[in-house]
This record gives sequence, C-alpha cells and structure tokens, in this order.
Amino acid sequence: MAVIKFEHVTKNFGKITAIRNVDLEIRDKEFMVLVGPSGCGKSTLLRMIAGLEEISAGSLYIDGQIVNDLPPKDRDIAIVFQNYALYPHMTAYDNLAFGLKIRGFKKSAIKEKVLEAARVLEIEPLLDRKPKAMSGGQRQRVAIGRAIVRDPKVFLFDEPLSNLDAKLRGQMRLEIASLHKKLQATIVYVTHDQVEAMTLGDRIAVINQGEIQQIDTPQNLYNFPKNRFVAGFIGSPPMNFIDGVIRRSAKGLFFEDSSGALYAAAPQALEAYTCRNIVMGIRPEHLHVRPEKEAERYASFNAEVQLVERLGHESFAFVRLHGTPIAARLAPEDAPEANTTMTLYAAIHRMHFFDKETGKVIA
Amino acid sequence: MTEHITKRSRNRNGLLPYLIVSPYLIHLLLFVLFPVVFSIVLTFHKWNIISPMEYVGLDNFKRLIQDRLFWKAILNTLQFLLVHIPLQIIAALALAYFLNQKIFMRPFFRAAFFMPVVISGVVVTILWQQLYGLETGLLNRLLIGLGLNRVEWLSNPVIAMISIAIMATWKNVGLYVILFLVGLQAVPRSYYEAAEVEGATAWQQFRYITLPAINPTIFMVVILSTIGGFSLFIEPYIMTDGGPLNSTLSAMLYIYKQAFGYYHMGYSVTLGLFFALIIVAVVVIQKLAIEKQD
Repeated sequence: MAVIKFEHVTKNFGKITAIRNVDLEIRDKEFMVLVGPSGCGKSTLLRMIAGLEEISAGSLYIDGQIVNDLPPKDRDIAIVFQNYALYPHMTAYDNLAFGLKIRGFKKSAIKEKVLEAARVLEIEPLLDRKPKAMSGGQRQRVAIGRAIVRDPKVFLFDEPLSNLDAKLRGQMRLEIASLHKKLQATIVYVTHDQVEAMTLGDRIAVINQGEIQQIDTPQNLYNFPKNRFVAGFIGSPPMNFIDGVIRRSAKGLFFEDSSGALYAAAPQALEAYTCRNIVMGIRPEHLHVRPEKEAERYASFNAEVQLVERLGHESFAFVRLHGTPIAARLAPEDAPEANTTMTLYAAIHRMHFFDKETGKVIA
Repeated sequence: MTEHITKRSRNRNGLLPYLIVSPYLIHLLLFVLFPVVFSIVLTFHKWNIISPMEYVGLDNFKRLIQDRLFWKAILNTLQFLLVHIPLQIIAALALAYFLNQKIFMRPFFRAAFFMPVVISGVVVTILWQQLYGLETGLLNRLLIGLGLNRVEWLSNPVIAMISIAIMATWKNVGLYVILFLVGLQAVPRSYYEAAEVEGATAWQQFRYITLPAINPTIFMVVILSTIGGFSLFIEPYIMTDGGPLNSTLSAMLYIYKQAFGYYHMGYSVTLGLFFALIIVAVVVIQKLAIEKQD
C-alpha cells in the first residue's frame, strides 16, 4: 500500500514560488507521470516526496501519514536520479548493496537481495564492474537495481532516460513499463518527454509554472485537454492554434479565422462567445487533403506550403494560413510540394475552442 | 617563388625568436643550469668562498656518512613530517568540510583561513613566538589561567618540534583547505541525496562517499605537504635556531648553517644534493604506493 497525497502544497525558493498550491493524489500501485517543460516544478514535486526538498506550506501524506518532517530514509522510498548517482568507487554489487549495508542487513541477506535484483534486471554480468566501465544503459539498469533492491513502497524516477540515446530510451521505456507490472509498486515518474509520459503513465499530471494544469489518463489528455497549455504540450507536432471570432448566421454559430479564409460550424456551447475573439485548436492529424468520412463535416481552407518533412510512413506539411503556421500530418502519398498552395480539410468535430484570455477550453 | 619568400622571411626573422626567448634562456643558464653544474663540481672540492677551491675527491661524501648531526637533522625533519602531514590533512579537510556547508559569513571565513598562507613566514614565526613564550606567552598564560601547568613549547626537546609542526600547519592549512574545497565541490550533490534516501548518516556519507571521492586530493595534499615539509627552515631558524639540543635542527637549517655559518661550501652542497635525492625517493615511494592503492 502506498497512496501519496499533496494537499495545498507550496514551495518557495527565496522569493520564487516553484510550486503553487498543488493538490494531487497518487493512487496505490499507480504509475503517475509528472510532465511539463523545464523549470515547471515537476522535479521539485518529486523531490518533496523523497524528502529532499522541504515543503513551504501545505501537507504531504504517504498512506495517510503526514510526512512533511519525516527524513528521507524513513519514507520507504527509492529514487532513480537523472545522472544515476552511482558511486564511482564502488562496483555495481556494492552500489546495490550500499543501502542494505547501511540499514544493517546481514551479508548473506544482502547477497540474496542483490542477486535477485540483478536477475530481474539482467545485470548479473555487470556486478563486478565499476560505473566507469559500463555504458549509459547499463548504468541506468544498475541505478534502477539500486532502487528495487530495497523493495520500497514507492519508486521515484527523475528523468531517468534523458541521458540515453533515442533507441535505448525506447527499449528502457518498455522495460520500465514491464518492471512496474512485476513490482506492483507505486511509481512517480518525472519527464519532459511527452512520449515517455503517454506510453508509461496510468495517469499524467501536466505541470506548468508550478501549477498542475490537468491530471488524467493519457488518452483523455489527448482527447479532452482542459486548456491551451495542455493541448499544446501533449501531441507531436503540437496542436495548431488559429485565432478567430465566433459569428452567428441563419444556420447557427460558426467560427471565422482572423484572415477570413476559414469557416467552420461551431457548437452551440459557444453562444456566449458570439462576436468575441477565440482560439480554435486542431491537431495535425485531424487535417486532411480530402474529406475522410462521408458522415463527418469538414472545414476546408487554402494554405501555402512552406516545408514538407517526409518520414517514410507519414509526412508533415508545414503550411501557413495568412501568416498563422499550421502543421498537418499526412499520408506519404498525400504530401504536397513545397512552395505550392494546397487545400486542407479540418475535421470539425475534432476542433477545440479556447478562451483567448484565460486559455481555458470552452468546447 | 613561394619558397623564395618563405626562405627570405625566415632569414629576416633570424634572430627575433632567439631574442624573444633570451630572457628565459639567460635566467635558465644563470640561475638553474650554472648552479647545478657548479654544485656538482663543488661536491668534490673544499671551498670557503674566499680562498681558492681545493680538490678533495670523495672526502665530502665520506664526511656526510659519518656526520651524526646531519642524520639527526634528517631524523628531525622526518619527525616533523610525521606530525605535520597528518595534522595538515585532518585540519584542512575538517575546515574545508565546514567551509563547504552553508555557514554564517562563509566568504569571510574562507578568506580568513587563507590569510596565513600569504603572510610572510617570518611574520608568522614572530607572531607564534609570542604565543609560545614560556613566561609571557599567550598559550601558557591561558593554561595557567585555567589552572593547568605551563608547557615548555619551545624549550623542551621533545615538544619543540611538535610546536613547530603545529605552527607550520596553521601557516599552510589555507592552501590545502582550498584544494579540499575544490575536491568537495566536485562531488555531485545527487550522491549525497541518494545516500540520504538510502539512510546513510552524515558520518556514513562522509566515510563512504566523500572520502573515496576526494581520495585524489588527499594524495595530492600528502605529496605537496611532504615536499613543503622537507624544506622546513624559516620556523626553526627564527624561533629556536635548531635548539634545544638540536631537537629542531631541520635538514635545511643544517645545510644552511654549513654554508653560511661555517662557510663549508663544498660540504653544504654535497648535503644539499644528497637531501634532494632523499626527497625524490620519498615522493617516488609515495607515488608508487598511491598508484598501487588505486
């Protein structure tokens, strides 16, 4: 059992507020990902759980017990650092054994636990080596081994894959996911990489400027972003945002972009925004070169093609709609030529509308 | 054509490179090469600066082997090192450790501990003479004030060298504090955080993480303070003149006395060269020991 709960938690570094009034509950055995841009406070949140960062205001609970003043060693947690923090003068075995030795385990018990952890992570051949003689991926494994060897209630991962190359990152991602299944423990995982966040998290907390923007499952974050920040952060390339106004006609409400080149029927929920500025968001994958399905409605517009990226299985067209940059994810055979004009069809039911001032989603 | 130009410009530059390096070259010849060669020549001669040199063959070396005072001076120097080096390392490491914490007025204290390094050795020695004075010295007054017996800091043959070692440590500690500070600051904070999460106490963190991490610095300090310690001169020269009973007579002081006290130039140079060999030998042994441990 390990439930972690932040209640109105604030963290100040001098005059700077790094975390502002955060409420967050991480469920037992949940894989919770904290994601956000650099400096958003996600690592600070993680370090608070570890007890490495003091809490300026509010309460942090682990299994119902307030742990604000509990030293790290008494929290039954383990942390994997971005730079691994393996002790360079110790072999992998000694690195794994260190915490157990400190806690006064018997030599035979230490050996048993270290070998078990090494077996799970398949690092037995590395046990005699010092970190210097290991590759980045091997060090990463040993660092994870050091965390699991103590069998803690909570695992904390602080951007553990950011020092690895892309291929290894993908591989380790799968391993961490399967490790979570095996260990059945609560995991809190910090990353700025949305692919890691989407693929690993049971739920994701999107953080910006010290505040939680939205907590939800990966799919819900993608489908129903609560505000412009989340909409722009989740998805790659990010969602396109087009400024415009809501107008009323005989057929109902419609959205007109600021250049007057794009018209789209708008949901009734936007009634209150009639004649007001608004931001429409549409993901690159919801723009097509022709209407995809008979039953659906599309808004078509012409745009100038600036650049085309061909990735083999798909292509990205970067176009401009009267100055507004727009990205479209297209099938390779649909990719246009650069410096031409193309017609794009935006799926109307996939559009998101945001309040221009607050950035909050309206419909 | 190009070849012609290069040749010409090389010719035109002819003397310039030599002119540019000449100050260093002159210095090297006059103050390094010449003294070395002259010293080696001197070891086979008897010379009191005024009379002409007299060739004596290997007499100086024979005398060195039988010179009990010289061996005592070497022993004294080793005794000094035995106190000075461990004291130096422990004091410097402890100070560096605390000066690396978030303490009140940290920049001031860091500068304060470095002060003695840049103060002239003569000034420091005279200052410590005031501290070590038998009747009026500050330390003894303090001891008497506390109801304790006074200590013969500089007049007891057993204690005098230790007193000098303490003073030399105080004088040089700032330099090694800086070296240790550099070493301590190079240890990533995440090592300590990982250890803290594992449950290591402050002492265990120091023992298992800090010490191994700054091992190279410790070795460097050992070698530097060995070399520095061998050249112990100003302190006994001013404070005790090698006494009492030659207990603080350092090798350097003895060599100096042979040269400028008795004008035994040939013999003094022989001692100097021999002493240099000892220093090299000790440092090489230390280095080998370190490499073996690594």
